[in-house]
Amino acid sequence: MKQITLIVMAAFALALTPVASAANDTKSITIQVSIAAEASIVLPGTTSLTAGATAFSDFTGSTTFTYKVRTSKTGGSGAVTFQIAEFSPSGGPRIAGGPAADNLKYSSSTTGVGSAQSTAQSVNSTTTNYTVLSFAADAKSSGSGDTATVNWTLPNDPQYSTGNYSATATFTISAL
Amino acid sequence: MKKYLLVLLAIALFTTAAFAQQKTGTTTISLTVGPEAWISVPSSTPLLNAGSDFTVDYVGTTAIAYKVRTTTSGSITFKAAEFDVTGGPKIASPVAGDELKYTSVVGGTSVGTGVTTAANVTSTSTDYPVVTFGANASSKKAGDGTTVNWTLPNDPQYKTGAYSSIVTFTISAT
Repeated sequence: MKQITLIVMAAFALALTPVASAANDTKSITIQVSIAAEASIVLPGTTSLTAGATAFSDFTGSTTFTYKVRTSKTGGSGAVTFQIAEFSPSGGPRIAGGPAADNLKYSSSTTGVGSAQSTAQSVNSTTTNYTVLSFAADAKSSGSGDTATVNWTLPNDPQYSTGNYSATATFTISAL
Repeated sequence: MKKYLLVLLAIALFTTAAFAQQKTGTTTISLTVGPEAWISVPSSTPLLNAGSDFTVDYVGTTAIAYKVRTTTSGSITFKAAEFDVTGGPKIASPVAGDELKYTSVVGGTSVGTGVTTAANVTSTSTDYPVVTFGANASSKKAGDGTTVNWTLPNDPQYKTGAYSSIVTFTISAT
């Protein structure tokens, strides 16, 4: 009788062994990110224009800046533009109202994304947004940013009084 | 109670993709305008004698173009080297009355003051003034002009021949 009882208990214990201990389960998560149009720009604090060695040769200088941009894949666009305030003090070069022959001129180039202004443009207004670079849809800078240069030319008019002159140019980068 | 929990992690970065992003920066464009000067002169100035009986001097003009911008002052001057062949006119130590003479006339809208009274040129080391500029003098963008009028007496003692003297003009601005 004792032997029969042991056999029955052993059989019961085997029946309770959890079958699930050898099974696997897999679940997934979804990571979502929305990549938007973005833009950033870094400019030097000053841009010096200097005259050439020849008397009354033009003042020239360049502004090299870095930028990052991402425009929308569909229907996107963007630009780098600048507005420039009037030169100070008076008596020297002028942005607005000066002789056309004395206009500040600029052109631009880039080693990165975007279309530059390869043809010199006159700057004769303090309220106009002058285009430096333009971006099409799905424009993307390199990870470290792209580099562009604005080349400035200012005629050296003998009529300018001697002295130091400066004008502040505000650059704006936009991306849509 | 469930033994296994289902965890759904959804990371959603909802940026405003539909709006334009814009950033700005500034750079100050600066320059220093200093005194400058430029001059252009013809390579030669012939002195001609319209007569044949010694009653008419040799005369000629040198038209000069220049640009100048001063802070304090400036000038155009010249030095004349000796005539290249002896026996004719002389710059230094000429016979009295045979001195080369000059005046200068500044163009009507040009900046500067000329030499209106005829001055003798009797040295090869002297800087002779042609035009003087005051403080804050500035030429037109297209440039200004002056004319130097030369007069050389026609001395019968001069041997016949061709004579030339190199005149060097200097414009300065401070």
